[in-house]
Amino acid sequence: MVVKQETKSMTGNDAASYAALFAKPDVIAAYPITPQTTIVENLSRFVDEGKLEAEFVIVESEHSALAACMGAAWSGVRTFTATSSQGLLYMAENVFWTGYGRLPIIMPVVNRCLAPGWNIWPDFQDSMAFRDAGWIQMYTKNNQEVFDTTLQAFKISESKDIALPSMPCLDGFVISHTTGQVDLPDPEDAFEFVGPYDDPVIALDVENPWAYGSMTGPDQYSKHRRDLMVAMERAKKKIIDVHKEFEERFGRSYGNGLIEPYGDDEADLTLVTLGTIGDEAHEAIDRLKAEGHNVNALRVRTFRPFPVEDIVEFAKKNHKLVVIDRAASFGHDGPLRIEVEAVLKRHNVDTSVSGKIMGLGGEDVPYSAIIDLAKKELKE
Amino acid sequence: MTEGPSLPILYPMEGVAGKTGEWRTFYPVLDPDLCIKCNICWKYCPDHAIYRADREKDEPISYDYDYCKGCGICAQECPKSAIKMVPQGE
Repeated sequence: MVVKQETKSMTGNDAASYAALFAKPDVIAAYPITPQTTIVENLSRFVDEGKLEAEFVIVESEHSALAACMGAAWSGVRTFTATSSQGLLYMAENVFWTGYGRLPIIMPVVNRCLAPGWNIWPDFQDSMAFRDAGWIQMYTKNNQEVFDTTLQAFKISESKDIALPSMPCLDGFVISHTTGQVDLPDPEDAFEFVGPYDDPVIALDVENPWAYGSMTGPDQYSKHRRDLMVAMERAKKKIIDVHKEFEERFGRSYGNGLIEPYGDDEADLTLVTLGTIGDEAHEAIDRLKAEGHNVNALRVRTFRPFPVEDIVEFAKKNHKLVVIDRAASFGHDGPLRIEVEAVLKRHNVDTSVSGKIMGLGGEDVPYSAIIDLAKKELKE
Repeated sequence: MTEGPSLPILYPMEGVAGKTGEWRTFYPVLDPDLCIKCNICWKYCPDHAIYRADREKDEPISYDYDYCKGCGICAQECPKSAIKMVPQGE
């Protein structure tokens, strides 16, 4: 049965902070950077007002913010922070420590492009740079999905058979600073869904002390990395299961949790997207269909682990995928296109793949631009 | 309880990285007549490779050469210059 919820109007950052509030993290450490600032500002206020019983650690840099979270995670408590863009880059060393160290920290990343030139608008260059850091990455399309994904992230990451940190990703400004409608459950219902973190992945034990991450020989090192690879594979099913459980309780879903198709199962052309462009693509699809074009869309919600099987199954029924990337791998192509193309080739699917890099540095990608792209591709 | 992940954890034990004394290029030699049994070297040794002196039994410090990497901190810190660093093989 779906629980009662209250419709509120709030920014994407507010939505992320409410999800964290309801999950009751024990430790939050942050050094807020634009445009994620209000996520941790809200949490700081919740702590100050007594709404959240958490240790809020104010640190001197993003590197320290994640380091403090790592320390907290090692002690076996629920841990949260948030970052963006340059701040995420400053954390870099500890982002890998967290992922390869299997610490289930939840860290929304407000996607903002990287300098130079200085610019505070969205693209995915920041989080894409951490594709291989051993974090679960889920890209959201609107404020509601930010709340839902952040709440789900705790349940996925902290599961002992997964033990991977999560980056719920939200487009800077388009989501982070834009007010939209969010249905909020009762805090107790939300906490009941997440559950307490009472079987921690790792916990400080003064009676049986350990050292973490010290000198490790090649054999043992490879074993850790292979285990991470297997955990990522397991995480696919976990994401689907948690997403399904969420749907049963709160009545909202995003495809199967890994991918979200839109429109008919089979079409002449499919728009493949990440993030808010996925939402804009729906408008483009509706208009193109009204003009008589046979088109559909596929939003990749989970980028790590990469939903290989789901994309292959979807692509088999379709003819031409047009991938819109909001990031670039310089010297090659858009990262999403590269991966989609590689997956289809490996699984002998002959659906054609093309793509375009759009929306860098917050360049607007309205449905009209997506329609133009689709029409051009339909002619080719 | 679900089985947890493969974690880069080490529990304290002797010689987990092998006999690290093999890394040594210099080794410490104590002149027992100069040793005042202050145990300063024992406190500074980063590898726990010094057995402490016993004043009651009038025994000076001694070394565990299996794990002494030859860093020379003991020789540097000794207030009586009772420890000399000697090249391996001499």
